[in-house]
Parts: sequence; structure tokens; C-alpha cells
Amino acid sequence: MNNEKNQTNYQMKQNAIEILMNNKALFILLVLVVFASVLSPKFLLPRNIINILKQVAAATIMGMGYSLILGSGHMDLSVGYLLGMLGIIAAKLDTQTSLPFAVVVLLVILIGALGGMANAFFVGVFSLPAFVVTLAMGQIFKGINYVVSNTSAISGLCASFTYIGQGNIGIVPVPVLLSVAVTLIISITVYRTAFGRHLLAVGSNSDAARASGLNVSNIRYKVYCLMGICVAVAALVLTGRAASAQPQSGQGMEMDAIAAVVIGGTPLGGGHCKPEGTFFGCLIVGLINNILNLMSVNSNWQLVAKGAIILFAIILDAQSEKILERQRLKGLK
Amino acid sequence: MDQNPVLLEMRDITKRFPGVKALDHAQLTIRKGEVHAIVGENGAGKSTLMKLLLGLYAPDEGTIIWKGQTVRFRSPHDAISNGISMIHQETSLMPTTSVSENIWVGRENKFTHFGILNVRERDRAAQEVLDSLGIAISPKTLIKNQSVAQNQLVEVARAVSYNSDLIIMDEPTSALAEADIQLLYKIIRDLTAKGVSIIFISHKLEEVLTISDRVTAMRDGRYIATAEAKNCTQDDLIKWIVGRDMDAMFPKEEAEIGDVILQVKNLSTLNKMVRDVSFQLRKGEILGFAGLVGAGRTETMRALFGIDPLETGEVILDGRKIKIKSPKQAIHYGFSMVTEDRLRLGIFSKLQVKQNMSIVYLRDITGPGGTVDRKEEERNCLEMRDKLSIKVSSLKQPISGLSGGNQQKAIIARWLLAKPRILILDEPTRGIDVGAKAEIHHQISLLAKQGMAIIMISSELQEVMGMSDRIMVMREGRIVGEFLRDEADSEQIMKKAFGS
Ligand SMILES: Nc1ncnc2c1ncn2[C@@H]1O[C@H](COP(=O)(O)OP(=O)(O)OP(=O)(O)O)[C@@H](O)[C@H]1O
Ligand SMILES: [Mg+2]
Repeated sequence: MNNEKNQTNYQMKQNAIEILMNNKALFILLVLVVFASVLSPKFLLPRNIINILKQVAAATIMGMGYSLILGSGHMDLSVGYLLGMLGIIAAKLDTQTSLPFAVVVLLVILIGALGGMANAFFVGVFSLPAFVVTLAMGQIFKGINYVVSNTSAISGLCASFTYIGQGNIGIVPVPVLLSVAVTLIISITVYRTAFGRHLLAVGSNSDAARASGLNVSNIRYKVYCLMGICVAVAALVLTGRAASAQPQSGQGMEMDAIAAVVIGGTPLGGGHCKPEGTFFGCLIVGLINNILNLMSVNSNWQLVAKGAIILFAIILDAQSEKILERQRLKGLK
Repeated sequence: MDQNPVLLEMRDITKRFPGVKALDHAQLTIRKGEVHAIVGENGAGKSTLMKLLLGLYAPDEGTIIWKGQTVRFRSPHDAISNGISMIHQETSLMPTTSVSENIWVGRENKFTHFGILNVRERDRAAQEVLDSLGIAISPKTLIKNQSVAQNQLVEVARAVSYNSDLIIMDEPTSALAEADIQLLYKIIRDLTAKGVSIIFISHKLEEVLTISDRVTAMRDGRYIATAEAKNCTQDDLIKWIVGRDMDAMFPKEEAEIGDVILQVKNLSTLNKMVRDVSFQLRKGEILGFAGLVGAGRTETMRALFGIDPLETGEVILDGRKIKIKSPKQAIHYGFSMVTEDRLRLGIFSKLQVKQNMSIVYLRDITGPGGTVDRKEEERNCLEMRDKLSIKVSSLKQPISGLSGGNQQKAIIARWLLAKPRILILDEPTRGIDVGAKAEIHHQISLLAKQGMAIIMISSELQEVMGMSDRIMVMREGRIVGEFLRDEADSEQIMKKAFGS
């Protein structure tokens, strides 16, 4: 009798821990929100909330692409530089040609897609590790960026361009709308489509994926292509918000993206993908920035704090499997 | 044997996983110097019991007494230092490293002087271990370049090299061919003569009765019985395992054999493992492939299915010449193939059971928008689960949580869902329990009756002979004999296979 009770207690505890571990991002987010609202009464003002969402929009869009990359067992260290390059190209096309803005957008997305697929090409054709290929490709993107921009910022963007980064539809800012839309599209892709299934299969065991009739290289192209498109959209949003293209923008964003995706529950190593988690992961990174601002922490220290918190989150992720396992090991005792 | 002192006692062991009670007051007593077999259905809890002993999991309840003392090992390392080593059901070798590295992993200290690892000394020691056991494998070979059977022998060598008092062997023979099995038996006998105890898990009842001194049967995580092997019959074991009387072999049903559907002519592969292989296959026919491991049967089918490239050869389907360059094309032409190497070419360990089952036929239930009809998927997978009696707590659980035999059934389900015209089965019932094996034979037989053409490779001669309408025998990459069902004779087949 007592044993039965123990058993249900144990099961409940077990389940609670599992739920907690599977939704870490959400819980960390809640804790941060509570913390921030205690810290500053201004935090919960709608304006501040919308501001945060706006700030993380570009990172979220990029993070969505990154969830696919990690889910399929790949890696991309070039995305930050790709974003910088695409921002500059977009601004250049916008200010120095007479192309309609819609065409500029399409061209930038196309170049983004091609950039991503170039990564897939070198990884596949020469069977190289994605890590090295994308590291090198990142340098190429950075170089092109500097050549095109001559390392100076480009401003004087057309109104449509700044609208993407600053405009509102009703009370909702356009970038926020875009980031939610991309999150939805990628979530549906992962959870509902055959392609989503295929990319996880490749991420889990690419030899078995081939033996199951999947075209592994085709899937890799698609994943990197989607990554490139996400980066292009993120570049447009970021450039539009600043109303100018900075050659340095995007640098280091790949690290933020990896951190956000991992905090969100998509581990390195492939086979799992959790886009909605990435959304929360990005919010966490954004919130930390916001809180540090509210606390008026010096911006150099902000970097240190952010790094430390990201490190903590990644360690937590690495440990959570072990924590779960230890719980199981402990059993009733 | 009865007088030998007790080495290990496990009492009232209970272990729960989310959704299942894997062990329910299980028990086991091992004496010094005995070979103790454990038998039971897929998912009965055999591997789990062993993992508990080894410290991979901790029991929820129960006592473990090792050499007279109550113990609970915290990790395999702990167990090994106390004299217990284990050969796992799923290989635990590292693919990109050498045989020698795998044998000595964790024990490099032995060969390290002033902080520097003496690789040559380590390889030499590995060679000594392999030689002493009579295993003909070079210590420098990489694991990924070896066959499943060869890797199994490396596992044996590693387990023995710890000089343990107890060696656990979880289905060690399921990947081995006859000659290697005999070698393993010899190794086991030498070990027991030195007083080492062996726990031997297997679904092959004949071998269980041959090699073991005592047998313990388990069902649904519970202890059923322990008996002296010499006082048991296979029927006794079957009764304990499945809880009722049944025939171990499902008799093949007569199927109407139709037109030739597939012709393979002069197939050779680049790696020279397949040389000039020709055969044809008819609708409704089960074509068995017999031979030793390494005879080129798996390689022939891999090449046919597009996994490995062909050097020369023609494949003619329905009278039309076709070229298969990838499994994707093969599937398109109506082939399905259950591969031998489940770990490398079969399971997606991180995906759910359901996702593992549906991956090949997914395009059949994908709508125009690219979205999967998940209701249909659920229904088909449930149907397959019941048909093949796959033991899962939920179709959504990761496949890595299934017992070995149940993983195999899920893979078979995957290829049946693809509704093939030609079904290639490479060791389909490896690691599958007696009851389920008969059920799978029954299913294969039904499919043939419905007109499917089936190729079946098996290292179990009984299985090939029992199921096939026609048997091809291979040796060293060539076809060396062909027998019709009625004229098949095990002695003749073995003679051809050995080439004597
Ligand atoms: N890590 C795990 N997570 C969840 N369930 C598990 C896990 N390991 C085992 N199980 C469950 O415990 C039960 C016993 O599994 P176990 O692997 O011990 O069976 P087995 O007797 O070795 O079967 P087989 O003959 O197929 O190898 C099964 O129902 C299995 O699904
Ligand atoms: Mg097992």
C-alpha cells in the first residue's frame, strides 16, 4: 500500500522532472520575466515587451534556419558573415540601382539561398566537414562584404526598406510579424512535412537514411538553402531597422544563434529539432540583454554576462540528459 | 556443478521505465564455472537485468550479492574492476578506431610509459589476445571496415581480456556464422575450465541446450524457472518462454509460383566481394541464400539494392533492363530490403518508433502540400505493431528504448509498409524470439502467397531450408550450388558452402 503510494509519488516526480527538462527554455524564460519585472516596473510595459520582440526578430529568423541545420546534424559558422554581406548587398542594390525594392528583396533572398547551397556543395562534393567549409566560406562572405562596401556603412535606404525593420501593422511591428511567420513555417516544416522527417532521419543516421531511400545530398542542399533564405530575411530586417547597412553587422551572430537554438532544446549532433524552443531561446538571449540594460550595466560587462549565461545554458543542456538518467538511476531510493 | 559455490545472486529485482515494468521481481543465481543461459521473449527483460548488474541502470528494488557480499555497481567500470565484463547485444565498438584500440580502451595505462602511449606494444598485446583465442583478425584493422561478425569477435576478445570471473554474453552468436560459433563455443569451454562463469543469452534454443549447464527462463520481466540443461528439451523451454505449447517452426504454406519478375546476370562488385553472380526470381517464390558469413550474400544484395556500386552485371525487371544506382531507385522499382546491419543501416536511434517505421513509405501518405497524413500513419503503424506483435509502451517512444528484437521487428515493419514487389530479407529474424520468429515466418509465407517475390538470406540453415522454395549457396563471392526445396539436404548444402 505504502509502496504503491511511493510509486505514484516517484512517477509524478519523474514526470515533473521530465516536463521541466523538456521545456527548459520556457521555464528559464519565465524565471527571467519574473526577475526582470521585480527589477524594474518598466519591464512589463507593453512598449518594452514589443521592443524586446523587435530586437530579437532578426536573431529569431536566423535561429529558425539554424534549428534545421542542427537538426540535420550539420553546422554553419558562416551565417554571421553571410548576414553582413547580404545586408550590404541589399543596401547597395537599393541605393545605387533603380531596381524596384521587391526585386531587391528577391535578389537578396536568391543570393542568400545560393550562399547556403554553396556550403552544401563543398560539404557534399568533397565530403568535407561542414565545420571547416563554413568557416572558410564565412571569410569569403566577409571579404565580398568589405569589397562591396569598401568597409563603410551605406545609408539612405528607401522607405519600403526601413518599413521592414521599423514599420507597424496595427500595433504589431513588421519584424515581429515576420519572425512569428518564419517560426510557424519552420515549425510546420519540421513537425508536419515529409521533408521535416527526412532531415531528422539524416541527422540521426545518414547511412541508414540513404539505405531507406532518401537522397541525402538533396536534403542537405535544401537545408542549407533554407538556412540561406532565413539569413537573407534576417539581413533585410536588421538593415531596415538600423536604416543603414553596417559592414560589421552580423558578426558573431552565429554564436548567439547556436546558443539560442541549443537553449531552446535542439541539441548539437542531429536527430532532434525544436523550432518553437528556438523562439524561446532567442527571447532568452534578448531578455538577458534587456535586463542588463535595465540594470544599466556597462556594455563591456554585458558581453561577459551574456557569455556566462549562455555557457550556463549550454552546460545545463548537456547535463539535463544526465540529470534525467540520474533520476532514473536513483529509482525509489 | 551443483556443488560449485555460488558466485552471483540477484534477488527480487524490479526495474521500471516510463510506461513499462521491464523487470518484476526477477532472480538469477550463477555458480562458479558454469555456463548459464537466459532465455525469454523479446522484451522479457534479459538485457535489462544484465545492464542492472553491470551498473548501467540501478534497480528500483532488489538485492545483488556478488561473491557473498551485497553490492551495487555504479558503472560498468566499477563492475569490470570487480570482475564482471559484458558483450553487449548492440556493438559498443568505436567505428573509426582500430581493433586494438577498442580492445584496450580505458586500459591504455598498461602501455603508457612516461606519459607516452606505446602503440606498438598495445597492438602486440592485442595480437596476443586474439591469437590465444584463435581469432584471425589483425589488430590494426579499423572497426568500420569489418563485418558485423568480425566485430562481434572483437567484442569477445575484449570481454575475455579483462580476465573476469563472470562474462555476460548478450546474444553473442546472432551475428556469427557456423565456423565462428564453433570457435566461440571453444572459447567458452576453455574459460569455464579455468573457473570463469558465463551468462549466455540467446534465442537459439538448440544452442542453449548444447552449450549451457543451466538455463533460466524469463517472461514479462518475471522469473519463470531455472533448470539443468541436460534435463530439458526445447519444448520445455518454449513452454516457459511463451507460456504455452507451440511449434518452433512455422510450416511454409504452399504458394503459387508465377512468372519470372527479376533476373540478375553476371553481377560483380568493385570490392570483389561479389563475382559473376546470376539468378532469377519468380513471383510468389521465396529464394533462400545459404553460405558462410563473408560468402558475399549480403554484398550481392547490397549491390542489387544500390547501396554499393556495381562493376558489371545486368538487372532485368519484368523483362526490362534497369539500372539501380541508389536505394532510392531500388525502392522506386518496388524493392524493399531489411539490412543485416541494423545499427548502421537500420535504426534512427533518436527518432520515435513510429517515425522509424514510416520513413520509407512516407511519400505514399504525403499530401500535395508536403504534409504527412499523421492519422493514416498512426493507423498503419498500429496495424503493423499488432501484426508483428512489437512490444512498445508507445509508438512515440524513441526506438532506442526498445529491446533488440523489437527494434528488428520495427525495421521489418518499415519495409513491409512500403508494399514492395520484391522483398529482400538479410537475416530477418536475427535476435527474434521463438514465438515471434514463427509469426514472422508466417507473415513472409503469407506475402509470398499474395504474389510477392522474396529473397531471404539466413545463416541458420534450418530457417533457409524451412522457408525457401529454392536455395542458392554462395561461397567466396560466387554461386556454387542451387537446390530445389524437395531436394535440399543440409549436408549437401554445407558441403557446397565450405567448398569441400
Ligand atoms: N532505456 C530504456 N527506456 C525505456 N524502456 C526500455 C529501455 N530499455 C529497455 N526498455 C524496455 O524494457 C523491456 C525489456 O527490455 P530488454 O531489452 O531487457 O529485453 P530483452 O529481453 O533483452 O529482449 P530482446 O530479446 O529483444 O533483446 C522492454 O519492454 C523495453 O522496451
Ligand atoms: Mg536484449
